[in-house]
Amino acid sequence: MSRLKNAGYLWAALLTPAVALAMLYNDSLSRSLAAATGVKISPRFSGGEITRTADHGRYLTRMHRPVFDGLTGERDEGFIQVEWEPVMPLPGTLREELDIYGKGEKFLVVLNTIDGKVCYENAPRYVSGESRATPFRSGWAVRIGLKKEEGGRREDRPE
Amino acid sequence: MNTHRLLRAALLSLPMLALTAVLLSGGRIPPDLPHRLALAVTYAAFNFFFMLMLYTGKTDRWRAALYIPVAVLFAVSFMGHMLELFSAQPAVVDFMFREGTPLCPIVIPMTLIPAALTRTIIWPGTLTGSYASIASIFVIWLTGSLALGRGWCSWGCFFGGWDDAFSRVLPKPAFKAPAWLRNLPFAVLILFALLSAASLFPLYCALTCPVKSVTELPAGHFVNDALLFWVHLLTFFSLVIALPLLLKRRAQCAYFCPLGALQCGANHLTPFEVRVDTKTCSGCGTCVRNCPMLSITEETLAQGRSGLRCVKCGRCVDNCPGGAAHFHVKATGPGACKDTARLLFLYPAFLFMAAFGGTICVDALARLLLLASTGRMF
Ligand code: SF4
Ligand code: SF4
Repeated sequence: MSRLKNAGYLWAALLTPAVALAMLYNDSLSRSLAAATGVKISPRFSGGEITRTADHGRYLTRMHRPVFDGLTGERDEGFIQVEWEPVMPLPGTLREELDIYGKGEKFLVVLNTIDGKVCYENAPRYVSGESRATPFRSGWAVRIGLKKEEGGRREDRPE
Repeated sequence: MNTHRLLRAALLSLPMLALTAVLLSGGRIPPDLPHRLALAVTYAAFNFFFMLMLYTGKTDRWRAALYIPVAVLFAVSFMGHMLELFSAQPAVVDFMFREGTPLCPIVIPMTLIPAALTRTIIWPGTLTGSYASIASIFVIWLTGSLALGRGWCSWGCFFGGWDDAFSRVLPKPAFKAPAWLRNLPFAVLILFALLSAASLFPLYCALTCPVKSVTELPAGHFVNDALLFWVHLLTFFSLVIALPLLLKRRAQCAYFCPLGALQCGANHLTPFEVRVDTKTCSGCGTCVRNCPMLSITEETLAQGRSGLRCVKCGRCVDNCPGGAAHFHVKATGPGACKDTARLLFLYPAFLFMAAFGGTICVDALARLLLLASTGRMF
């Protein structure tokens, strides 16, 4: 009983230095926690990994990978995030030619940087027509809604 | 004034004086005057109340005197950070794109299933290296949970002070809520954890969180949807103001908060608990009437326990006329010294509050001083 009692007191007493150290070294502990667990920000928020960057002189365009990630496996609907980062002030209309899967199915995304309206020209069938545009960092970002192609497999798409 | 008690309190305060100096300052004197002043005021206030805890033997009274201002100042600090974060943006940024958004601990239960299954966090923040980054909030939450269990909810959480404050205003409750309502937070936890996992979106935060109103005003700047803005206001006024006033309980924490429900499980991890000495208990029911979390009931009282929902606020201990309610260290048996147990609990609990809440106070006070002198919050 007295051994157990001492263990109880020891456990309780150790918590003061433990709290002090955890709060003091929060920064390095959080880095270790992130590294040890290997977690990342969900691509539904981060947009997923960037796969291509194009330099247009006046601005840069960054294209992310298509995101279909679900809780387990992939979903039927996803998106691809495209960002424009200005080098000089952005023009009122941005026109970007995209070939999402690199199969030559090029189409045009047109973004109005005044009101955030997005439209497409010659959009392939897997572009759902839905979009989400927002001011982003100092430029703009757009999420283009995608539908998974019938029988489409992830391997068909570039990582 | 009892000189012997004062001397004892002063001596026992020395470790806290040293530890809070290091933790509040991060080991360096701030370069600017507003931060220096804010640090000095926070350091003095926290240590003054700690000494009062030791001198008077009362816990909840002095804890609340810090815990409530922490909640109010958190709103100032958080809003300041959000305004700073979006100051470079000419318009409202869609929530999904808000990289760098500080993580709120109440979102943690919603992130756990997706984190386990996809190894990703469903939050538009950064993992490390920024204000309230995801990993840093997880480290703080784990520390609080392991050390204090659900004591998180009266020594750590920077929202709990709101309903704690309103639950103290009226002398008597206007009415009693049905007992089954105490189980609602578990239902809210399960429902929103599953919905968030299915949608990969922290739905509780987006749809209902009652405390969002004090951190993400004005409408249109942070909350894109006008309807949701009113929903947040409604849940805030009902759960954080009206019900705590009328029930004299911490209604949002006792009846709704999913993190609070999760923290009940953490009560098994901490060595600390609040117990009732059934031999000295007169059965007056003061603790049952006063418990802000409805944790201690006639049933738990008969067993000498404070119940699963106990936040270790110490209100029952302070108010028990015969001194039967007391802090206790698990595994030390029924005859263990109550004063030693209370002291062993107070050090980590108070230190946690000072390190977590205190740094929020320093930031908020510095922003307020800056606002008063320059008209800017950052
Ligand atoms: S119940 Fe929720 S809001 Fe209340 S103190 Fe606990 S975590 Fe905070
Ligand atoms: S049982 Fe006592 S210490 Fe626990 S929450 Fe209720 S009043 Fe606070």
